[in-house]
Amino acid sequence: MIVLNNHGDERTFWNTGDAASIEHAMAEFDRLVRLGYRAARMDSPETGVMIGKFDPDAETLTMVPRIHAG
Amino acid sequence: MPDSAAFFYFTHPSQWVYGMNDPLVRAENTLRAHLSPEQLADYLRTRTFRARGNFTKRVYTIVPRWSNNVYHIEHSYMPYEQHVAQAFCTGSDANVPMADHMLIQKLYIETNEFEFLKIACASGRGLVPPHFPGEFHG
Repeated sequence: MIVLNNHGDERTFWNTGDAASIEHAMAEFDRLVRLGYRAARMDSPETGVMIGKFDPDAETLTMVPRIHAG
Repeated sequence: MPDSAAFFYFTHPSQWVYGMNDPLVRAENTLRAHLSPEQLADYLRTRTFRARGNFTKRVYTIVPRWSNNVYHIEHSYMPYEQHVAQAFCTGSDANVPMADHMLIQKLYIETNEFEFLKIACASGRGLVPPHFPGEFHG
């Protein structure tokens, strides 16, 4: 999971066979969604999909901060 | 996505001073990893790239600026060859580097264009500014 923030990015990894790591990633996902982040599941650079729930089977989740009018 | 280490060897001048862990370098690498081969080629050549909206299927050009940096450009029907542009401006809640700023706009356009258009501040339609970088055929 790639989180776009003021550090450039931060990464959280999980293993589908490790329940604890999935739980940790899910908690991080929920915390970011509460802050207004949107999650994009990136199967390839061209085909991203916005998702609302944590998907442990996703290869990459990119967490995008909320935008506002400039 | 390119998987060779050489691809990420040098991405930003800040790397010479602060190393690979500098936010500007990390953001640049993240952006490049999220670009398709065509977008990456455009980006390396002109520092701009194009993204297709998933709602209207329009093509937007994203340029490296903090404001009014997403352009929708199309051919006009004027007798002389000219283009008409609409600029969109968004900011993000996080204080992100420029490369992340462009990546956020790309992801919004490609995955949630409807919300992007709802939120973004759109300027009036006008001529393409003369300093506009890169190619801009929509």
